[in-house]
Amino acid sequence: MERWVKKTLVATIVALAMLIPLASTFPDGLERVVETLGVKAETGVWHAPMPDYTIDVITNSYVSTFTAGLTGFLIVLVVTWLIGKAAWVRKAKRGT
Amino acid sequence: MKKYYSRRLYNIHISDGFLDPPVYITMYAVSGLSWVLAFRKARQMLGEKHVPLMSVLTAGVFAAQMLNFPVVIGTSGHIVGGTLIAIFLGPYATIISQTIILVIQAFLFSDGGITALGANVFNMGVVSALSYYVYTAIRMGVHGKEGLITATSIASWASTVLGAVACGFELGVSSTFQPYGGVAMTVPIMALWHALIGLGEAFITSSIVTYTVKVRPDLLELEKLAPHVR
Repeated sequence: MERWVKKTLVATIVALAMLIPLASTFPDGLERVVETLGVKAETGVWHAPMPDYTIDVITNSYVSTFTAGLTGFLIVLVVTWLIGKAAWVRKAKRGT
Repeated sequence: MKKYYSRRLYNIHISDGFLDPPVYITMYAVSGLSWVLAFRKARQMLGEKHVPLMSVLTAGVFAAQMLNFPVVIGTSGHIVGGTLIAIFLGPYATIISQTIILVIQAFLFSDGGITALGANVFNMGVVSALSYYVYTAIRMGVHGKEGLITATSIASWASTVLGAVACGFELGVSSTFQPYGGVAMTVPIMALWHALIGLGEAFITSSIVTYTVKVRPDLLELEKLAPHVR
C-alpha cells in the first residue's frame, strides 16, 4: 500500500473520531423541509443492522456511532477496492 | 443518552415511503441506465492507479457524509462529495462511488430508502457527475490556481443545489407532498436550504483539492474516467 493511502486513511479515521461529537444534530436540509411542511410518511420495510449509525448492543452513544461509522468506512473501502480490482484484472487479462 | 445521529426518516437521502411507485421506478430506470454506462466505460478506462484513489475517495466521502455541519437557524447539512470524486477521477467514477456508498448506507444504516435508491443515486451521483462539466468549462476559461478554486467551488455548489432541486421535484410530484403544495413548495425550499449547504460543500471540496495540489499534484492528473478522453 502506498504511503499516501495509509496516511489518508488514518487521517480520515482520526477526523471521524474527532468530528462525530461535533457533528450537528440539527435537522438537515430535507428533514427541515419535512418538518416545515409537517409531512408524515410511513416507515420502510427494511430493518438495517445499524440504523442511524448506531449499534444496539453498545450503550455509549459516541462509541456506538464511531464503531458503526468505522465499520461502514471499512466496508465501503473494501467493496470499492474489490470492484475496482476485479474490473482492472479483467481488463489486464483481456490485454487491452 | 445523547444521540449523535437522528436521521432515520428524513435526510437529503430520501427514505422509503416518500416517493410514489411511478416516481421511484422512473428514477431506478434513469439511474440504471447511468450505472450500465458508467460501469462499462469505467471498466475500459480504469488503470491500476485509479483503484486505490477511488477506494480512498469513496470511503472518505462516506465518512464525510456522516458528519453534518450546522448551516443556519437550526438546520444542518452534510457534503455530497460527488464533485470531489469527479474532479479527481471523472464523472463515471462519481456514479460508481456514490452508488456503492448509497447501497451500503441504505442496507446497513437505513440512511436513504431502498425504494428511493434510484432517486438518491440520481440526485447525489448522476447530478454531481454532470457538475464535472461545469468544472471543466470554468477551468477552460479561467486558468491557474484561481481557475481551480473557482471551478471547484462553483461546480460543487451547483451539484448540491441541482441535486436538491431534483430531490425536491421527485418529492413534490409524489402524493405524500401533494397536500403541502407539491412541487411549488418542495423545490424552492430544497433549493434555498441547499444554496446555503452548498457553500459548505464548496468550501470543503475546494480545501481538499487545493491541499492535494500542494502535496500530491500527480493525484489530480490521473486520466479521468470521462467520455472523449482517449
